Amino acid sequence: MIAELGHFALALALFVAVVQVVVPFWGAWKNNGQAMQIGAQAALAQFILVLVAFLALMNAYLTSDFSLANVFQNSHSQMPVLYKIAGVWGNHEGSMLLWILMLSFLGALVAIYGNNLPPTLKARVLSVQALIGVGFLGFLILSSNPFLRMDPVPADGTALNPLLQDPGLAFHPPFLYLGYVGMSVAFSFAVAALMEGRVDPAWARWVRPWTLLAWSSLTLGIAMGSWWAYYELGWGGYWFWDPVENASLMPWLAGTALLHSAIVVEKRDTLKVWTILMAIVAFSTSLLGTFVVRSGLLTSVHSFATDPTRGTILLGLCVLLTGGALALFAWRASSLKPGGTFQLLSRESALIGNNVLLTVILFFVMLGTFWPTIAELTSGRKVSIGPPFYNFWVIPLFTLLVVFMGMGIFLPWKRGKGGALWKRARLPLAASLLLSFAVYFITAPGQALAFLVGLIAFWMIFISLADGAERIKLFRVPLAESGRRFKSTPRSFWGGTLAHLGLGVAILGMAGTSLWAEQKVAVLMPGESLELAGFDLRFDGVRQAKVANYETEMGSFTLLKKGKIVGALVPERRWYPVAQMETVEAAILPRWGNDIYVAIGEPRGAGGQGRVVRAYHHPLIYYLWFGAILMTLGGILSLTDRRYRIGAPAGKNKKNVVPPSSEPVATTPEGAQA
Amino acid sequence: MRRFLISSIGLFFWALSLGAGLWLPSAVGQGARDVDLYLEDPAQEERARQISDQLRCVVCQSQSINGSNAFLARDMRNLVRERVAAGDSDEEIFAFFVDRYGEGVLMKPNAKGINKLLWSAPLILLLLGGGLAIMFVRQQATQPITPPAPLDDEEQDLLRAALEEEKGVEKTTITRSEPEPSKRVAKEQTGTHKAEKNSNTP
Repeated sequence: MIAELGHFALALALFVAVVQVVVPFWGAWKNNGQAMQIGAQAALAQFILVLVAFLALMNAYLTSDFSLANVFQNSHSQMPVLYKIAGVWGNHEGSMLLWILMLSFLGALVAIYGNNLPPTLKARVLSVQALIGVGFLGFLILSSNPFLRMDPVPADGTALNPLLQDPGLAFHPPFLYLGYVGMSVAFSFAVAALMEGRVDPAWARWVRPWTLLAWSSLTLGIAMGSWWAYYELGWGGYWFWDPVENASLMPWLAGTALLHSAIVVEKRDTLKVWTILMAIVAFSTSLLGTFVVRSGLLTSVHSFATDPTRGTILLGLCVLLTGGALALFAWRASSLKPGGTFQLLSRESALIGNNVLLTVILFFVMLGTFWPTIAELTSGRKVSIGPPFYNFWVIPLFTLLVVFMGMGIFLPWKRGKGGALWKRARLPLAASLLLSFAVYFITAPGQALAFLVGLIAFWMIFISLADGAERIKLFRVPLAESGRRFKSTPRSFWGGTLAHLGLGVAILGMAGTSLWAEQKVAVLMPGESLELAGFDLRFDGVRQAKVANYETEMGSFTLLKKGKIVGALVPERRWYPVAQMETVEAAILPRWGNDIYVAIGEPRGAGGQGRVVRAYHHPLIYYLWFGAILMTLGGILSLTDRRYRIGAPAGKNKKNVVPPSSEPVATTPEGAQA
Repeated sequence: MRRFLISSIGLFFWALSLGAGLWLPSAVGQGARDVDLYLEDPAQEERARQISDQLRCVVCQSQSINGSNAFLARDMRNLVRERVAAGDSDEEIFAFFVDRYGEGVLMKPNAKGINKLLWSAPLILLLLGGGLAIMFVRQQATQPITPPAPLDDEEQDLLRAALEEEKGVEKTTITRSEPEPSKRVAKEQTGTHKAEKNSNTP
């Protein structure tokens, strides 16, 4: 009964979405306020209906209602409650519903908080947002309906893929989807702006919080995914340049480019055409990712098993939305006139360089992802594109990118001077060169890559720190004054600085892991040990246990350094009887500068007492995820900036903080530079 | 400046200690029986590992034979070690695997035929994008700034009202005995007024 209610709500949501496409669009065209108002009401109604459908499906999972085919295929009565909930989006149909829930949620947010938008723009944004909704609701109901019943009702389900039964993965898709779908708002704003034929700094200010929200979620989602891959897949890697991973990286790259170019629109009223294009590209790559994961076109570790019909419909949606937006772009973009001009050596130019590079990396990743298909179609060759290819190009491109990053940070708007740039950049440059040389000589002499990657990471860290220190005039004025400056500096500045710092820290982690990792694979009998990076890892034996919905075999390991016990590790091998599948749970001993990672394999040797043991030493790996968390926090901090706060009046020169003592006007130049 | 120098020296030592933690002797595996047949010579083993990183496990998806638990991957790893021990060059080893498993076994595609396009694509894109960007920046730098559209009547009225109010405010601040706080209040008032205006006619 509840499932039918959900099914009905879904159909009704499609109907409401159609209304939301047509009525506000017509209203904006005829300048009919009432019709435009309907757009906001429809957006709220659509969200509530989709939410009802989603909760109905979740209820079916929680009550183990196996009369629903979707629940039967992806759940089991014995599964823990957490995974029953996660099971809702652990499959194609349910995750598509989550995708649509996010889409309608964002639409509702625009309806609620968009009161400071011009009515026609708001109506058009909601209309475009609903158009995407119509496409995907139609797709869900027609080809991937999660509410289809089964007759006769099976006694029990076939359980969620055990690999997905993991807390890291339970929360990874919601963030990832919020990131993917979040780009739809920027897309809708771009299309609406093209219809209106006008883009101005206010437009950029409205788009920015939505992009920040999407970007932060996407960053966190990707980081959680790689963390899951690291400890769950059992071979110590965190990023494999797999098509599905690339599918999440592409919108991230486009979103990063969009965030930076939108700053130029907001501050300098130029680069409008490009920013609109980036907004379209960001969501198009999200759509492309959705298509890649669900069509089975590319082989990947992560993709859902799917049939070609779905792929075809998704490709159609992808082409229609992207193609439509690009056609509108080609038709209307020339009507957007740039405002402020700037010289070759300026922050604007540096941000253009940043965007060019991010776009080149984006297309390069896209080309690599689709190349096996392209090569096979054009020349019948079966080729693989793996990490060695990506790493070959990504490192030089990234090196160039951080050069522009430094210029963007150290150059002023409009017109910069080479001398001033050098003066600001020389200290961070010297410090990062010094550190990279040190790392190069101490760790792996002769590894030029270690030097280069270290240089990139340290450079990013030092320019962020130097920029922050200069902003508050650290050590140049009394500390109390610096503290005041710290408080009065807009949060978007600190958000950006934190994100840059985070990326630097993350790259340090990547460098440490890829350049200096050590791996050992051996068969150990109880009592035997292996030597790894100066540690002795002793295998003490295994014990069996039956937990919840799986049986497990736990290996006991003791980590020793020079005979002294450092820690204990308990890697597991789990057997899920319902799914007839085995998973590996690696044990990880986190340490400040590195970690020890152990996974156990199949029995070997006399009496089956020995085990295949894979042990890894990963220096600096935590920096990777710590950096990602810093980036996410940076995004959120920037989101809370007064200027971008959703719904806040768009006063441009409004002063947030007036220092109680001394001249109140003194902060103006600082504020203008933000 | 000096403080900054001191702190960077501190960071330097911090990184030194970090680097010391990273220092790893590459050692030969011990206790291996029927899994991986490690090579005695650490240099050879390291070379075998690097080659294994570039070969795809043909029964897996997007995994190198170095990062896979599959039996076939292990056999392929041992095969690499065998070739390394036999003294084959990297090219010979890759050719050996391509002969056996086809071109798809290479994680790093060769630069022959249509793959030339793949390998040169980033450079082409970079030159193209960079060229267009420089052209754009040069062209707009010489362009005269297009003046903003003239205000319409409604906006003119709003502007006049705002200006008058500001004038009134200036007068009151002069006559008041405490100029500072009242000025601030007045500023805030005009600020909100402007904000309203902005949100009405963006």
